[in-house]
Amino acid sequence: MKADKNLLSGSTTLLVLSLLAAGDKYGYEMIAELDARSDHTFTLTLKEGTLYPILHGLEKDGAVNSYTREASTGRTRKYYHITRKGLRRLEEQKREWTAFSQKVNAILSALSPAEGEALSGPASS
Amino acid sequence: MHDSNPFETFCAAVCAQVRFRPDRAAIQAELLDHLQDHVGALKERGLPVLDARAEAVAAMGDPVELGKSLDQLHSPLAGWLLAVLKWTSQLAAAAAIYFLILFLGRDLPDLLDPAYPITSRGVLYYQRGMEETENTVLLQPTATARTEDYTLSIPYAVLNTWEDGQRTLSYLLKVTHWNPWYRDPEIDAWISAQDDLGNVYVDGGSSAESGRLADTCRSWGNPLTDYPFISYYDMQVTGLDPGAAQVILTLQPFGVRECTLTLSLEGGEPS
Repeated sequence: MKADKNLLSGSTTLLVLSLLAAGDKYGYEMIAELDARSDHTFTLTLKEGTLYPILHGLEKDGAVNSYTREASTGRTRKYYHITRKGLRRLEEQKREWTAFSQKVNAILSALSPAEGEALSGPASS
Repeated sequence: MHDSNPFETFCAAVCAQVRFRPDRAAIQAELLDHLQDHVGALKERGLPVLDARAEAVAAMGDPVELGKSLDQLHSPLAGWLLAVLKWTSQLAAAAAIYFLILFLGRDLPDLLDPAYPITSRGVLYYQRGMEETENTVLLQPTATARTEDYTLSIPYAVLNTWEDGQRTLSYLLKVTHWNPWYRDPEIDAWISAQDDLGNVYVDGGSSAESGRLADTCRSWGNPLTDYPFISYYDMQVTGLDPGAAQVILTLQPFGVRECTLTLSLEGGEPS
């Protein structure tokens, strides 16, 4: 399923931080995991290159740090590691996301299809 | 038609947007790794290499847009400022290590075990004086004594016989202590001497047994120099009994006998 790009872009930092909270990863490893977990939604919607400005921005903010290590493939990779600051930020963003999605869901469920039609204007009359 | 080297073209297009040149190599390496990993995954799914390469590049998105986003995060001002700060701190650290080595290289041996102050005025005075009289015996002290806090030894001792037959023992007392707070103890005031005939020599006192004069029969001295771990004292025993063959030095701080050092007045070589 291809999602609305605007819906996803706001949550990419949250996704990246939560991936790193599970363990240190390199760029492509994160993309592959996001792809698998989101049923290709992420890669279909957002370009893979967008991951790097997010990672470099998080590193600049001190939410993650990076180091070079040999990956299981035998090649060296730049790994990212979430810091304490990053973990705090992840918790904040998770709370914000939960509160926001609950509000959006509440509005959506409160508006029944009948009300939806009523809102759409005089076409029903 | 396929680009002959699509990865290089893509990375070059991204890096061209990054104004802070020193970061370009790391960005290129990271993006290349990503592209190669992606191609590897696509090849495993059975895609031909050339198609896999093109798809990997396409999946990355617009290189110029990506480059501009990265440029915002690798700003030249912050980058150069950080680089200058890093170089300066490295230079300062190197300079600090250099001067530390220079300082310690010159002073550390002296700090830990300074050569006893043979050039100090007191010791030289006695040595020179004895050479002039030609009645000087250079003793070979070997004894070492230990207390709880100090180790005492005599690196240098001479016996001088004056024209009137009076004998004077002059010795350099070395006191080592591993606690720098213990430096320069009042050892010179705590030492008394006794010869093998039973005569006692104290500062300002006289030997009751021999009835010799208080101002001639004395054991006394002065602090010479002190280092953090070693203190030296210029010591003397004057009015020595002509028959004495040994002097026993006793350290008695506050009247409590702590240790003794025995010094033979024979067996030395004439200076």
